[in-house]
Amino acid sequence: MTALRMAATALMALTTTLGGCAGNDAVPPPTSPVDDRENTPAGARELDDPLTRLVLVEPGSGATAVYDVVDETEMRLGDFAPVDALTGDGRFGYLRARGGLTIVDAGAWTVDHGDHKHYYAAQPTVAGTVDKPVESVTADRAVAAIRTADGRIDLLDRERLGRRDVGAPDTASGGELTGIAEAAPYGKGLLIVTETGQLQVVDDKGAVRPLPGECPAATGATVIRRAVIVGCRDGAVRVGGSDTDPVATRIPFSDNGPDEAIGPLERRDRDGVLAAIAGDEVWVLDSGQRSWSSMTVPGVVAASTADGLVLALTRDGVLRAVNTADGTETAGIALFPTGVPADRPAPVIAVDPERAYVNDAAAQAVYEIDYSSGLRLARTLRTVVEPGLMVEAGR
Amino acid sequence: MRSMQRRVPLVFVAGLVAWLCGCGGTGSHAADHEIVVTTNVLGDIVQNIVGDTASVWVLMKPNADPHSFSLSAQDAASITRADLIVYNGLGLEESVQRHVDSAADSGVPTLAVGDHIDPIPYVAGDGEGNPDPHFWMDPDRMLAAVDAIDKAVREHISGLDVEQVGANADRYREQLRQLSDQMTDRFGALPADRRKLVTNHHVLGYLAARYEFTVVGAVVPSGTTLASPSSSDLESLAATIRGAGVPAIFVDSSQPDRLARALAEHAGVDVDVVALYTESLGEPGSSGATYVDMMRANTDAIVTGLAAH
Repeated sequence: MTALRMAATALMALTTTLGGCAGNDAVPPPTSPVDDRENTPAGARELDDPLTRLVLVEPGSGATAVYDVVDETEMRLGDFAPVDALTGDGRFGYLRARGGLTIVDAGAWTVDHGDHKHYYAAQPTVAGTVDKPVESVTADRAVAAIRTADGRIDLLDRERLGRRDVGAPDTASGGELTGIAEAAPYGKGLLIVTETGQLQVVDDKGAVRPLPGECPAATGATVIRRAVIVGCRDGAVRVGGSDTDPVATRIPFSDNGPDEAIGPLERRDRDGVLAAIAGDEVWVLDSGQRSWSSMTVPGVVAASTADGLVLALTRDGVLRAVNTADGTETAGIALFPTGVPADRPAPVIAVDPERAYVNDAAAQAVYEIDYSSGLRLARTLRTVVEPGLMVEAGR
Repeated sequence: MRSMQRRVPLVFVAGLVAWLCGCGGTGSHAADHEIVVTTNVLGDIVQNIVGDTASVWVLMKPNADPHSFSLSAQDAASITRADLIVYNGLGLEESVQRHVDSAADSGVPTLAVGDHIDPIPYVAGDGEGNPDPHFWMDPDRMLAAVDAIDKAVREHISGLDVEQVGANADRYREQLRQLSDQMTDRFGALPADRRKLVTNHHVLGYLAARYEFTVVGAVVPSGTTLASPSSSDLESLAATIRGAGVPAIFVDSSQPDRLARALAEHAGVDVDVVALYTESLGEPGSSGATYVDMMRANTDAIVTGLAAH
């Protein structure tokens, strides 16, 4: 528990830092650190509708570009050494390399005010780096939780990242934080899953709260609109409710779970219906209904969800739309001329409210798919970098 | 269109007024009294009321949005020193509310104009049932706002030239009455079946309620979609337009012409895509540089759009 107490202390420090963003000592600290996160930063402009950009990375060379889907322009940001993995949070791309993390600002993001949204654009750039090996990054709209190989969890304030004011990250652990399997921002604090499957929430006041239920062999944490979803060996756990009263709900697989562990849970934007691959099966979690369903898609290499559909890419290079309710394939389109190569990272299916994007590194292309019109190929976007890794931003 | 929504730097005007007043030697230096106002629409109203008797400091910068704009250190300090803070108060100024609250806690008088204008609730969306903060879209409610500001200024700022303020307020009330009468006349000339605002704005509720329009919510395809639209991308908007049977829609779109073209080509809907001033005043010199100008420009745009054959 000592480590978690330390985590709590650091979270309080983080809150203080966020409060400092107001930039004036004469004004008492804010009651809520959320207030200032959504301001238009210098150099950004507001748009009338969302801007879609793609962060594209060539894994071997680390060559990285931001592709503007509206203008069809590609902006090269540099080469960042071999990149193992890329995760995104709707604005920033987090490039994991052996030596550390490079954070790319795609310069496109959406702020949701509930009754309306605001859309922003800024110049794509490198926002900062974390100079030590990183195991995973999970971000919500406010904070990125970065689990480092040395057992720490660094918290990066995304609003400060937007101002390139990275500095030293707020470290959620002064000492060794061992036994942490997954970590995700939760409310103003942090959700932690231990290697033994215990769930804990650390709030911004520093209180550590163990949650009932467990999540054995956690396979990744995903932030959705009002909750965090963690994939587990026996299903998933949804942690929702208020900051002060978090509620963990176990969503076990029905009678026969998958034979192997599920992969990361993918979804459209921050939707509550998520898909994960386990062998030749796609497992679909409806977090609103608290239920799982599954379908067999032989040779599936990537999957996501959209509007009652599972979009699944198979090894033969065909993208398929499968009805989530009854498992019937409603459309298919051959995208990869020679199939999906086995010796490269699996492509990504990035889904937003209008389109899906699928990256084909060998063809130096991204396919834009109109999934609500029978997987119509809307555009083939040609790229200069070989886009082996991709995340979407701006939505 | 966003270009119609630039914000006027009233701070500059206020500074000029202060300087002029100082030369006049009236003994009532504007700089002696400072009123801080959150949004530029309310700033324009306050400025019209106090004239050169007090300086008006508007927090909402050009290119900002009333729902989310940040304060400079100077702004934050000015709030704590103000003689009066005027703000919307109906949840509009999410990002500065805490500054207003803490100034109020330390004894600065505040006026939440929203408390005095008989707010109506949002009728749709996530905010459904909550009071709609966009009351400036109804000039009659702005008359009530003038009354509240006039009263608050007299009550909280001692040594103010109240005769001048009273005369200014009366003059401005007359302008607002004329504006409202003009809007009533012009909208009244529209046939009842044309009084429909197909829009993606969430700000037209008050205008619709006052002048008997129906707001028809629309989802507007994004620029990404318009690069290669299919009929299904435009289906929802096209069906909304067909259902309303209107010749113009009032939406924010980064590519209004492209949207109109796509609707014509892919959905067989011939419609004008018209921009309005909504959240903010326009740039100085634009057709929406003041509150009264902004509402006249909106009236023109709506009447011209909906009267088309």
